[in-house]
Amino acid sequence: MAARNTGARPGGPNKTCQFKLVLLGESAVGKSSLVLRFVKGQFHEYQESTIGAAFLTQTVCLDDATVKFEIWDTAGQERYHSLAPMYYRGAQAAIVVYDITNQESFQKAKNWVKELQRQASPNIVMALAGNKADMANKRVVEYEEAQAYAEENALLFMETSAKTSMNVNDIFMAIAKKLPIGPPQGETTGTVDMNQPQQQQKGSCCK
Amino acid sequence: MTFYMAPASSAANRNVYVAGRDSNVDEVMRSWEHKYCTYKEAKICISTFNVNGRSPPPILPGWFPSETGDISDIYAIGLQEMDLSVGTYIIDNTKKMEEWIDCMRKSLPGGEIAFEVIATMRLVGIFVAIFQWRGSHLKISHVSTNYMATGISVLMNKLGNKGGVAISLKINDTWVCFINSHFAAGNNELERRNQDFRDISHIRFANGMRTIYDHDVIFWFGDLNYRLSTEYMGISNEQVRIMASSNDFSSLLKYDQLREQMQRRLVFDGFVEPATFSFRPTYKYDVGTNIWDTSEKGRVPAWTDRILYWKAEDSIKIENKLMESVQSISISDHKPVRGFFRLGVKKIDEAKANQIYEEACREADRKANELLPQVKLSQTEIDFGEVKYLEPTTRQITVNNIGKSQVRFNFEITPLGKANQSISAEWLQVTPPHYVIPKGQSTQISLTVSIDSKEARKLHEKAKSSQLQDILVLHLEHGRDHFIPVTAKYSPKCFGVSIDQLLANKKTGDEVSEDDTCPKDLPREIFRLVDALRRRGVASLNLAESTDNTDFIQIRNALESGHPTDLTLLQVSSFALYSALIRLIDTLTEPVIPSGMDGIIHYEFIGVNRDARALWTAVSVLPPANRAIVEYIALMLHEFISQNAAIREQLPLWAERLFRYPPQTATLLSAPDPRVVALQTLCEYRRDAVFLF
Repeated sequence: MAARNTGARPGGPNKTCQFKLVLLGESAVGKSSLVLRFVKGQFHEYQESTIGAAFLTQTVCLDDATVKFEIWDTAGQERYHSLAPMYYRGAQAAIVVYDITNQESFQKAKNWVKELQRQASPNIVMALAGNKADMANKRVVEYEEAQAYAEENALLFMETSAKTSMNVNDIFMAIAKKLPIGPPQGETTGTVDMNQPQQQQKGSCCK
Repeated sequence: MTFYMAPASSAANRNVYVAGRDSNVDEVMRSWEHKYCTYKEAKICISTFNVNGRSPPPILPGWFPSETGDISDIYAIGLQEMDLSVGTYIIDNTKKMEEWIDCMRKSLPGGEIAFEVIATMRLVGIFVAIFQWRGSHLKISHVSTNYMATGISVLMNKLGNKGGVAISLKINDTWVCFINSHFAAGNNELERRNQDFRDISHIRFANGMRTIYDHDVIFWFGDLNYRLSTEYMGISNEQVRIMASSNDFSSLLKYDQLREQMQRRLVFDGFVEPATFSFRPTYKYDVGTNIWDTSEKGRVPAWTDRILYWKAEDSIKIENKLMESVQSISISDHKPVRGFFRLGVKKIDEAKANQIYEEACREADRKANELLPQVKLSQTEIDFGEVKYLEPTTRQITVNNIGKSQVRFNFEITPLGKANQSISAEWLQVTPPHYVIPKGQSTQISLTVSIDSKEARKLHEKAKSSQLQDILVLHLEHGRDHFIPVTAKYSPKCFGVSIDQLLANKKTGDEVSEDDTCPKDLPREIFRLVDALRRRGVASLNLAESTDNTDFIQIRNALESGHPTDLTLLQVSSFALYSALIRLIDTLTEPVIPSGMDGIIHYEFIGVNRDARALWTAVSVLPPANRAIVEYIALMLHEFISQNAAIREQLPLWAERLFRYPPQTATLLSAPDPRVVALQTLCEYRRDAVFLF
């Protein structure tokens, strides 16, 4: 039986836009927890240390497009630092994560931002996530300080909590909105003339 | 240019589900159809009629029954041989077509005004028309038409002798395709008919974007021209006619070519028609009668006129209520066939569909993430501990495939500054570098650290620390990466060290005994090896012997630990001792005769290679230890050659190891290597003898 595509509107199928997103940041700031919260809606108090680069996909729906993230969650330990370019190379988006209760992790985050500015794709969409916002009583990195830094460097910025899920979806959503999504076709019912020659999608985001 | 219609209201268009973007999401949405669709029954009547080129009467009573009052929503009527006049192939004559549409309208139940023509399509004599009853509540949309000619004459460029016409449309939200076709005629054109099916099934709609199989349901009807293969079975035309006139159609249907070809899946694969027929063969009659063909050709009766359907999924509800011929109509040599169907058509509630779209995306992601390859490693980190020169050590990692399908893995080239774009550091070998593990199975990966002479020297240059480190990146195809840090401790004492370190060993080594005859500036390791060889004597040294690694390890351990002091006590051959000496010189991190500043020292030796006095003068300006080694080796070789002439053949090997760098001046291939000449000179003319005069 032939492959079928029932229900496709005249004008043909539009593919979901796929983007490579990489998470960077010091060990134990909660990169894997953010991904786990975002993708599976789960949280583990004792999340295993990532030895490698975990891979998951997650789709988000925007007003006018569907964005599929291919998420690479990298190991944070310093010994693996030199492998990071394998993952941020070719990435269209990056989330640099720090822990608001750990000053050192904020410094590391800044280093990551610098490295991305130097080495990653010039069009990469970068977000800074101050994670563990639920532990505000142990806060050492002030919101204003991080926000000012993010503004200087044109980063998206949110404080997040993988534990309470605060701002987790939002930060991915905010990134999706900043990504260069070519407007899809055949979107609204009744507006597409079936005799109109099929338009080719421009841009590299969509397969 | 990008073509995009801005939505009227952004809020109203939020998360609109559009099929065809992501096949995973579509699959979920299809399986959830009941959540956002309502279903209605559509009554569909199909009729196919080969009209033999006849002009229609104003009305064909009985074509579509009306007395029951049961009117179908949709009538799809296919004609073949609507126009046989020669001119038809050249001039597009619409007169016959209009007459037939008129006849159809009038023959439909409820009269001509009760129906609306939805679409028609014509390929010369092959014609299809779709009517919708005005009382029907079904919404028909997205109508598009196409045809495919399969005519027999290449010269006539397929002018529509045979072929198919098709109409694609949506009934509510169910896609339906109607195909009327006329296949090749003749008893022996079976393969040609099958080819007609294949050709026509390539019809596409909507600018080629939709194939016939991109519909929920296909109705395929027409004069398919499949015959009865009774002749080959020895059944006479007369017998067939008797059977065809009786009510025993099932015994005749056994010989139907189409059934036979479908059973062998050669044609109409997946299509359905009733298990048996309750009507006579529809071909061939004398026009105006119900009498089998009495012409000269006397055709054997056959069910040439057929109605089949195909559905995309089991879940689609379609029922064939009735299939029959209309025996009373006799204007043609064929009888019309009609079929009544009930099709469950869906209506998508777009708001509901859009509501669950996000959920469907998540479900699709969940399924996709679940299917990602997964492996478990028996060890996530490998520490080789102490590794030694020329003593390969191997460790195993078991990779267990714990995912839901087979997994393909490979080691990635990493940016860790490894030479030659390798997956691992030069001192580390990984096998296999890639592999496929079936579901539920496992495989072993071997990691081997081995340090040869070249590597020993290189490691010394690279890192002063004794820690060797590498990280392997094991990549699962379409999945994650695992990092495997590999460490080893390499602290060479004798092999792979500098001359300075050998001298330092001497200071920290065991207490110097009274009768120590080791020259002051000579590394003790060299002295011990040479001393042992001397005492054993080299007359019987067999240079063709091979030495195994365990011998070497014994010697190395004795040299490193200082025990036994006397190497002759070791259970190893003289050749093993001799080989160890060569390796010791070979793994020194710098050559005994240094290249010096811009190779000057080296060049001096080469330049004066036949002048013993000049050579010894050059030796005298070397650092004390280097000088001691050259003097000692030269003296040793002098002695050994006198005991065993075969050792003379070893001079190039020794020259190579003492000088290391190739001669800087290009020499003729036939000319002797100046390094060898220099060493030979040093051996032949002992220093004290030269300076005696």
